[in-house]
Amino acid sequence: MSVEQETFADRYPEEAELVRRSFLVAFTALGLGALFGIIQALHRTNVLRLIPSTDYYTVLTAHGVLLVIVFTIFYLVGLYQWAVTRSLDRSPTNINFTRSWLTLMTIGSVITGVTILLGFVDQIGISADVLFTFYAPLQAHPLFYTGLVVFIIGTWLAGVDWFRTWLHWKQDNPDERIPLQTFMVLTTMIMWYVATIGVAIAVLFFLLPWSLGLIDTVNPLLTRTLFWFFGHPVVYFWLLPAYMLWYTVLPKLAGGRLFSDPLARVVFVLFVLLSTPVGIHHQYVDPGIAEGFKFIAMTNTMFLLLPSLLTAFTVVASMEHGARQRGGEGLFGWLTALPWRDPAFTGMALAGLMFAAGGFSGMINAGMNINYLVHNTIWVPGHFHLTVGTAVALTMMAGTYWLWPQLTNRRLYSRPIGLFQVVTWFGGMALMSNSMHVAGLYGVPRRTAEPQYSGFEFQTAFGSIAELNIQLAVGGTLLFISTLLFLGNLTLSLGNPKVEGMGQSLPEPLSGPEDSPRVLDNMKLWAGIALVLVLLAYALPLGAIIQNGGLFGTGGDAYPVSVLGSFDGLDAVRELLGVGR
Amino acid sequence: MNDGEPIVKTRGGLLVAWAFLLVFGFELRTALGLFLGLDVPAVPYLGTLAIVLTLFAVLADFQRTSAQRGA
Repeated sequence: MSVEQETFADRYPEEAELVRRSFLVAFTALGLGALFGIIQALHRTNVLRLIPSTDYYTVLTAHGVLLVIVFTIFYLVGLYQWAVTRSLDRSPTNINFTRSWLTLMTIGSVITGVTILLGFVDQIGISADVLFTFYAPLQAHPLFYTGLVVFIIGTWLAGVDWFRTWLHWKQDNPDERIPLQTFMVLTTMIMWYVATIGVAIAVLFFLLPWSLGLIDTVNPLLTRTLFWFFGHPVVYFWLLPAYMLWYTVLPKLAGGRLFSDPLARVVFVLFVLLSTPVGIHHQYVDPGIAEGFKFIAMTNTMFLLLPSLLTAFTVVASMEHGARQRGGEGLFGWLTALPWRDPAFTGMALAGLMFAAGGFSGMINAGMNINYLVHNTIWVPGHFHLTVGTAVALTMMAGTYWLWPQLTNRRLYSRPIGLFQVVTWFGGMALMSNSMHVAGLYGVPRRTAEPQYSGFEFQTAFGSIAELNIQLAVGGTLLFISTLLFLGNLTLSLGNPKVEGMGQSLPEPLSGPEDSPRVLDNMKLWAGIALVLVLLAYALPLGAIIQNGGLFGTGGDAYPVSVLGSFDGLDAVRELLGVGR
Repeated sequence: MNDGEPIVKTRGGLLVAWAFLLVFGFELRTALGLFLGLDVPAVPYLGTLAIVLTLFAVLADFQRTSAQRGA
């Protein structure tokens, strides 16, 4: 077997095993998260109620955490381990260290996941119905935060592992430019280190001691701000693995080559610089933060459109190049020459298309004035189901169709099922996110099991709320079916016999790294500038929040983790239900 | 076309184009409703759109198959 025919599993069997293990955790979380998703979609639309409404927040928290923390980040570490090993053509410095951080991440995820799921069993008295946005005054059991800490430490060590591998490679190749995929991994991890400063402080100094009873109170606005310090860049932590697949794998699938390596590097550097000093745009309606700080966050957010637009240009140009290599002609005729029968290509292309729509709704979220129209409505989940729920999730599933044979030496069970799966996701998400966006414009709230208040009718510009509910339920059902098809296809693939010679290489870009300045590879410089920008964006607002509300707040009880917990504001509800304290 | 062959073979491009145009047409209904206040009934509109797009897909497939046979 020639080197070209070698798969990743042939060349790096131990690393391939670790990537498969990451994907196993990711796809287990995907299946569970999707199950909780369909339960929610059918419940809040009143189509089918499988749970009591009091369990809704357990379902919602599990759906959010399992999909946007466990699924996406385990997929990321698997993909990035593949990318670093492949692009440097080098094993990790110490494979046991690699195994250790993956084990830590898994243990952390299990602790946090089980703590959330225990919320279904009232008798145990452990729960964490705090949603993915786990800031105060919602309080979880200490195990929730402990698992989160272990998980995040695991991701930090993953970054250490990849930086170490790169540094050793650099010693052997002092004059070489960083290979593009490794460059993407390193810049993503710099962004992650900066971003997780906020959540680490929030959890270690406030939320965990508070849930353990070591401190009596916290300042909710402070924990919210620290959460969003992390909560916006985490969006790009989900997105950048998808970008890696779009930049380095999609052009090959299209039959061509990446249009520009330098542009790809610029895009990733821009994400390092601009991802974090924007989090306050999630807090436009928060009292206690001056409007000027919110305006700065909005301006920074609008700058973030630049790397996304650069990506749209570069990726589409690469696809067009591929199509023309395959004989495509004309202004738009080249589109018909693309390999639409390939589920990996089609999934990524449709995900990119949905991302454009998600970008438009994101601009509305980011605009200070128009945000007030949609804030806390179901418009917002409509937006992020297009971005993380499609651009990221669909790209990851599509990327798996291409990666799977490289990792297992087994063919995919069925490419037609794969194609049907990605198209079903596209159609299902179009229905679901459309209904969410429209319902949001009518003022339908998010994060509630009972969006239809009694004695109140939402005013619709066209159609009806009932129609939007059906649309949401049908869309959610299609997404659930699509997830089952994906997981079933992969599971059945394991029954295929192992074959040799399925190795695939990635082509060199049309414009390579030699066309870009070496300063782009200066990781210390970009990390330093990113930290300065974060300091400029956050020092004054955080100072003002602490000055006005105190480091540990001004008092008040935690909101209970269960609806019938100890919270004075619920006394009336308790009386109504005849439940004692 | 031989008797044993299906009327329409699975073609990635046609499937994606069909799904994309159906979604585009559906979003057009939203735009008409929100921007112009036109309340187009969902089920008849979508049903008609799906039938028309399916007919176009079948015709496109016949045309392509004929062209390939003729070549």
